[in-house]
Amino acid sequence: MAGVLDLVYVALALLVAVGGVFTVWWIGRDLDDGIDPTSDLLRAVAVSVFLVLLAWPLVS
Amino acid sequence: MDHGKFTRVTTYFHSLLALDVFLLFFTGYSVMFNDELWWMVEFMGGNAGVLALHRIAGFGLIVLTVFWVTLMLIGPGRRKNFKAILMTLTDAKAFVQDVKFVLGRADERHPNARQFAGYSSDEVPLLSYVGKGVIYIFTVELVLLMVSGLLIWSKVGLAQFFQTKAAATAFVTFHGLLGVVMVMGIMFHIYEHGFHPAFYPVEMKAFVPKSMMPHEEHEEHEGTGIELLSLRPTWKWAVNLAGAAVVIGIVSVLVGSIFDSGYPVPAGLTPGGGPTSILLTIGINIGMFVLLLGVVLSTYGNVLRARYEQQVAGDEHDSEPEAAADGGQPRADE
Repeated sequence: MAGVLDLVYVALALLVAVGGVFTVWWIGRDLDDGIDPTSDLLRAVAVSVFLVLLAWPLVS
Repeated sequence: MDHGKFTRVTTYFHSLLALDVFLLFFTGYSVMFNDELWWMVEFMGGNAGVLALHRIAGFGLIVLTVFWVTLMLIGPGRRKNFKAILMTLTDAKAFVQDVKFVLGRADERHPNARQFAGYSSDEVPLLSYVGKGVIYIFTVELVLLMVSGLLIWSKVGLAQFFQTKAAATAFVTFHGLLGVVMVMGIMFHIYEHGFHPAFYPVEMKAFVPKSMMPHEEHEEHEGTGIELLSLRPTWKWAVNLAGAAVVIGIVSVLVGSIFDSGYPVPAGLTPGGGPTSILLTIGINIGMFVLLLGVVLSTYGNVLRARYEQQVAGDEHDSEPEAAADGGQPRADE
């Protein structure tokens, strides 16, 4: 049971973080603020990959 | 641009509270993640040194809280201050309008959400609903952390008081869980106020009291004044770097709190020592870096305040009238 709760906890943390990062990118992608949306997307992907790699060895 | 909100006492209190809370975080997390933050434990004199510092900082927090509560209860403007932090129906409307604004269904943010938008302090409330929420959350968290911290001050004493080790463990767990929850808020707070494009790298509202804020009127200028500000060239990469560090720091601390010491914090009275990984170690250290950034920005804000006060004092000295007949000097108004 504790193992399942750990998985749910990690999954939620990852979902909120990765979801948040991509939501920010999605909201700002059409803004005319001089920031390239493609580089924003690449940064969001890089952060997400780091987080998944961070958590994966601990839950697998 | 009129951005003054804090009184002089509030600016000092905010800086002292920040320093104390950061010390509590650094020592508390050194206990909790003692394998990932081994260097921090060593730096603060080993486990005994860390725990001693944590208790000293905890005592400091209680002193600061007692001072602040007393000030709020019997200090000047207490009724006005208390009224200013109460949530209103307009705040709820501001929240709904903010959600619509984010989704592109509203043209602008509600006045009650415009804490940063450069309006004068007469046009917007003292605190936006976000600011009120921050006060509520931090107050509840700090009170619960103080109560649970006092209960686990002496584990032997607690075990005698509650008779069971399980009860003592529950309070340690509760204390650690609250610490994990609070660090998320603190990291967002640092990011929100340190990396806003109009105020990067530090929002002076928290450092320069409203009595010293310039209230110059630009009669020939239409607008709130925010459009007169220019964005620092370093903001673009700094905001990305800090944003990534905040997200990674929060997730690492959350994940680490499970695997280092049970669910969600210590399974026993001795935390730490669970499975870890190199990326988790990096992630938790990035989280500590964000907290350190908070200390640096707080210090920088106080340096800027000191410079500004010197500048104002210099200007006043230059335009000072002649001494009075009795040799006295006119007193500067607060």
